[in-house]
Amino acid sequence: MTLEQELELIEKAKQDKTAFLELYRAYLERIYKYCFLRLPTQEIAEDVTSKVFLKLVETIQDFDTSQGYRLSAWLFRVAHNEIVDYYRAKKPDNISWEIEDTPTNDDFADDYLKKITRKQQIAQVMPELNQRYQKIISLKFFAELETEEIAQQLSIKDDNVYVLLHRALKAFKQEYYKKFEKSERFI
Amino acid sequence: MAVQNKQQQSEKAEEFFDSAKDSAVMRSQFASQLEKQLEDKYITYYSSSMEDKPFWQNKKFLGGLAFAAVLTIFVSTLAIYQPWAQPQSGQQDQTEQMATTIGAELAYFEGGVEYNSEGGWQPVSESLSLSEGDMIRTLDDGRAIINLDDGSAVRLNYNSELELTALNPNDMQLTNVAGEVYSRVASLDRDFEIVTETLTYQSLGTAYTTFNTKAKQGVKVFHSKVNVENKDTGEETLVEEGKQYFKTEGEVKELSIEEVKKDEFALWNKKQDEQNEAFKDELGKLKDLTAPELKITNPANNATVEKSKITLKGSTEADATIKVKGQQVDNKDGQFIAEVSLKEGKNEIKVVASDAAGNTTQKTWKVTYKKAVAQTETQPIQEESSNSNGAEAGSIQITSVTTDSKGLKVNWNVSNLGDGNGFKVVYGLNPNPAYGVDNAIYVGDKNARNATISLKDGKTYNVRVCRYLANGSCDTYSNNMQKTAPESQSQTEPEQSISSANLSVNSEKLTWTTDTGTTGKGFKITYGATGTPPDYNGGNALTFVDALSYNTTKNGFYKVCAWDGGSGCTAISNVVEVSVF
Repeated sequence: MTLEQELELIEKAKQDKTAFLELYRAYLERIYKYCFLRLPTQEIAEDVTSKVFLKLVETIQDFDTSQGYRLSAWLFRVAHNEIVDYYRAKKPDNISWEIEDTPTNDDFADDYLKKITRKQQIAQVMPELNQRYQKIISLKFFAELETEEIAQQLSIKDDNVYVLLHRALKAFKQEYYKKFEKSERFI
Repeated sequence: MAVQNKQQQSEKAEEFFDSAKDSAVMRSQFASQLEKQLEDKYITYYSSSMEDKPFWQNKKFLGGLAFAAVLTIFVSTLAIYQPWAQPQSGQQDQTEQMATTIGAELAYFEGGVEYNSEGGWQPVSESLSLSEGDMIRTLDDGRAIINLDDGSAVRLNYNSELELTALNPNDMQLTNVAGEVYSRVASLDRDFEIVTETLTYQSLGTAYTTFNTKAKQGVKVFHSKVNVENKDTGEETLVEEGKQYFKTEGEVKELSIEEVKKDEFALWNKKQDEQNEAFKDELGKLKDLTAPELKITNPANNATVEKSKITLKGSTEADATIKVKGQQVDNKDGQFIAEVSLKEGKNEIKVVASDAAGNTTQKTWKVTYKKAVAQTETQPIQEESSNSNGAEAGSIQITSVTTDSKGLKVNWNVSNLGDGNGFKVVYGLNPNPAYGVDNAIYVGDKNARNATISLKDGKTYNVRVCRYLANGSCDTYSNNMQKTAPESQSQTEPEQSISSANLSVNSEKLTWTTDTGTTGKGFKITYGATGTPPDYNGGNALTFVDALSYNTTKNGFYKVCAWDGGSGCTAISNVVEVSVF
């Protein structure tokens, strides 16, 4: 969807239920992925994703399309806050990082296990970073936003995105090394 | 070359995260279940909008979703003096970015306060420099004050967390993550905005506390005004000085003085503001929290005077009302003077200072009026017998004032002085100190010719000696002499610094000893999985321990560093290996 198309759809969604659900379907997977990569389990990711969209029902009417921002700005911001909240409420000891049994094709089981292990590692390291770093890493690599969009959301200049990202990755690496044995590492 | 490496790093990172993304598999029913939920909610939420009720009346604040709103403070400055922001050609992006950020410093902290600067949470140290991206949090007993280079001060209450999201002078963002944050903004041409998910607060040079806890989200305004904009409804509310606005209550209410007096955080902030040149004249509502100060500088309390009228002088808060003996007197910028008539004997003078909020401070000053004694009335026999030359007046002469280990030693002579009841050695910071007004020590022995005043503050004092009479007054003053009191030596011992640490291991437990035998400022433990661990550099510690042992949880190599309170060590231990897991 182009920006214009999206803004038009948002306006429609303020009055029309079908338009709203179209928006939902357009963004569901991205929001879910974003949440999943930062949270311990599928269940919790689903829970947070639901919260984000349920909130959207209440606030869609006030979304100001004249600002020219995509809906993603609002969605990722709310998702980020929910995730931060989750970790604040849960004491680190209460979080189980066990890998769930997900039914999958045996041929790809090994590969899947590697991927899910890495995901768990990432989700474990993220909360150790300060919020700004968490945001930029998730917006760039999980939400896959463009530099301009990222700059918009963080209220910085485009040029600064690169610099901030570089710092965030450095911090991420440091925290990652702290937590994981060399044999477990992928970097 | 450097740019290439950065790009490579970004690509590598992309690869790293990419592979993990594939594992994000959604349950098939999840999408359809959620869609149904949304559909239902949309219908119920907006059904009445199709009837006569305007849709904004259906808006409810999200109790169920109760996510903590993020308070962000925006500062956009109009005119900035930044000597360090001169553009320099050929500079790398990174240094240019660093050069233009405003500095922040942890000016004060008490109790448990931690910070997170790319390396996990660690306890803070005095005068810690903070930079963009850093976070600060206070524990149950912690409070902290952060000073920003632009003159603003941000103070955290207990259990609060703040992030210095961006410190770029054109775009300053501080995020109040949780708890209570009092913002004291250096006023002038700055626009301040506090933004939450649903509310925007705009203010101009104010003092206010923003709340972001599960129980309440909102603002209390102590000075100037705050404009609150509700993003959900578009409503704008002006919250003026002395008022408060909370999201759950949805309306502007009076900030009652009683309520604020119980707010310990507000009282603490008032004290801090009073000590700050830039803020002390802009206390606004905070001023009314405490009763006005009242000082009476002249005469001294319980003084005895020989005049029937005295000039009472004192100081108080600039706009307090002053009443002396029930009569209002002029308050000139905090100073007041009143002529008071005394009756013979003891007098009690009541002085009351009251402020606009009705707080009062009262002092009852006692002054005794004893008529000057004519030579013929008191102890005439004594006088006559000691005055051999009846016509010549007696006198006292201070010959010297020296310093000794206790303070100032005063030596004097007398000449033709009749016996009195000893002497008073009067001293003060102003010349010609007088008994009854300034401090004095009493020397009972009329034959004494020296005395020592205990003063060890290093200040310069003026000293006179006068003859003390039985009626409680002093006459026949000596000359005035000046002397600087000695200064007491500082008795504090310098903190012992650890200069060596010896590490040993038993199974999974690390134990170490230091040359001082103490734990000093605590220890940072560094770790290496396969080889020698790095030296601690301020951001690479495995953990911080304020003890002399640590139980490891993984195999590898360990080193212990005696923390210097900053980003280094005063001593580094040997390396040991753990291989029991």
